[in-house]
Amino acid sequence: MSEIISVENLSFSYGGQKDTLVLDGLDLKIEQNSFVAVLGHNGCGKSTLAKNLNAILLPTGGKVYVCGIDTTDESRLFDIRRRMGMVFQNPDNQIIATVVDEDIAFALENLGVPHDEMVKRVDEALAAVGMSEYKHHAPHRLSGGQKQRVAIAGIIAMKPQCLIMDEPTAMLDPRGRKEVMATVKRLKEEQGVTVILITHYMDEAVQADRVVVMDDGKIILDGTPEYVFQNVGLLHSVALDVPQSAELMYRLRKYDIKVPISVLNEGDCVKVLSELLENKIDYKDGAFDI
Amino acid sequence: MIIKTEHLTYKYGIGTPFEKTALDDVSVSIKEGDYVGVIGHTGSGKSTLISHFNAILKPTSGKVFVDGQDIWQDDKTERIKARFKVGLVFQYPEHQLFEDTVYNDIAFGPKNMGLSGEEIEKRVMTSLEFVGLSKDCLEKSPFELSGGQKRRAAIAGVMAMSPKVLVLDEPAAGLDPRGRDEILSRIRDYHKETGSTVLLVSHSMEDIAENANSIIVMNRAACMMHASVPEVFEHASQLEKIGLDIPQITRVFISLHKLGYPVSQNIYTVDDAEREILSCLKGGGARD
Repeated sequence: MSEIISVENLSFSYGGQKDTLVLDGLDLKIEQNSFVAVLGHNGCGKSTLAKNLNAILLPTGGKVYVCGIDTTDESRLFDIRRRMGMVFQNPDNQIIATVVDEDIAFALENLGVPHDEMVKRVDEALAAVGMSEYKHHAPHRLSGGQKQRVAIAGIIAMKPQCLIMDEPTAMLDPRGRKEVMATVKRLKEEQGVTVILITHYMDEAVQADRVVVMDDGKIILDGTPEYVFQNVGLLHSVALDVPQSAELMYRLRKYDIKVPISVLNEGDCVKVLSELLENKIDYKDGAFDI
Repeated sequence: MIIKTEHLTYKYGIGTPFEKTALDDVSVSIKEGDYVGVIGHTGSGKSTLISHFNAILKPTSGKVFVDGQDIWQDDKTERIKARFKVGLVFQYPEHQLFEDTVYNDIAFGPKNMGLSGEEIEKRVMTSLEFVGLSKDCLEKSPFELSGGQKRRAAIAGVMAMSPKVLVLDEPAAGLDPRGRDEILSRIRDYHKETGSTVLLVSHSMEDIAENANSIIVMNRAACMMHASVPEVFEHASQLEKIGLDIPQITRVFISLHKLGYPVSQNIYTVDDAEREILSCLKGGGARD
């Protein structure tokens, strides 16, 4: 089975069936070991979707299957939670112990993992997020990026198949954000974890294999970053940004300058602009006036 | 100079094993009416620095002047004045909302200043308008508002005190792109219309480039630079070395400039970039 998550016609409202739908007939299939970014403005239903993926919330209508298990099957709740690890925005809300390694062992204790195995898994998880040397430190003395990596390690130690991250970098500085993104990508490559990343940062979404854009409880765009960020007008209309280079191409094309639509990174942007400046790209003289 | 520090040093936990110098000999001056961006990675001393501006922290050594007065002279009246002259909006200010209605929450500061009921009401209404909240909100409990609205109500509470200096610590953190633009443009309007000094602490170089006139760069408890936006961005590689992020478009134009194309390096926004490219094409484009 290559699909780890299958969402079928999912509807959700916080107040039962009569209340407004936060998720409205949503279909989504996620392949194992893929890296999917979910974008959307506040209130579009991203976090509600995430909570439906590990049975924190249950569908009002439709079905959610994770690893083939129906999330409404209460007898399998433990299996679902163990497979779908969730990391939230604020690591302070997720870290509970006063020493890093104890914090990571917390979930393992709850799962009844034998002691020797537990020690091994704690060490592995810390190594996976690059925090081994902080094993005996107090979490509250770490930087934001380090804390978030400890929170991720706490989830990784449970060996989940899928990591669901709800704006894990929102409270971090640029360096912390880079640390977390590098860690996530490494976990995907080395451990075969599936990653679902909810974010407001377009530069993070660009690094995913696939970008899903939500608005008003529905999916309005779904595809590779190259495909999704071509739709600049549509993204603006749902209050989202695109990477600056893509925005610049979009604006230049409005002047009938024939630059490619999909330029997402710095290197490509430099290449396109230098070609443009050397008159290798077509544009109508006098088509623009500034 | 509305705010000035002289050799300001601050140490946390003096005499304990955790003693740490959070500010090390910082001397900065902020001009009245300026819009100053404060950047620096986590732990660089940004928040410690701004906490000195209204006497929340007492310098271990060095001096802090607000509006020309040394606020740590023996007399505490200067410190009390500084509290009203410098309005501080902390990170996640919505966590500080506590009154039963939005009106009362915004009015809390002006009330403590001993203003008349009429003046308080005027202040509440003006600041409500500045942050773009509707009057329907006034009688609601602050906890009924959405996240973005709460943030704005909290900022209004500080604006209502009409401080000469408004200091905001990461006012856009955690908001989506539209929420961020909304808050920042409200602050920009406030700065323009009131002529007051604004300090914006942010991790986002894009936001600072689009809003501020000058930038204070903090690194390892010291002020590494304090200069105009273009002057600071000239040191792009240095900024990246200390863990800061240069806007993508700025990096693109620095590369183009290095490759010998006749473009400016001081491009911070897509608007700048569009203008620059179009004017180059108009001028014939090619490399000389």
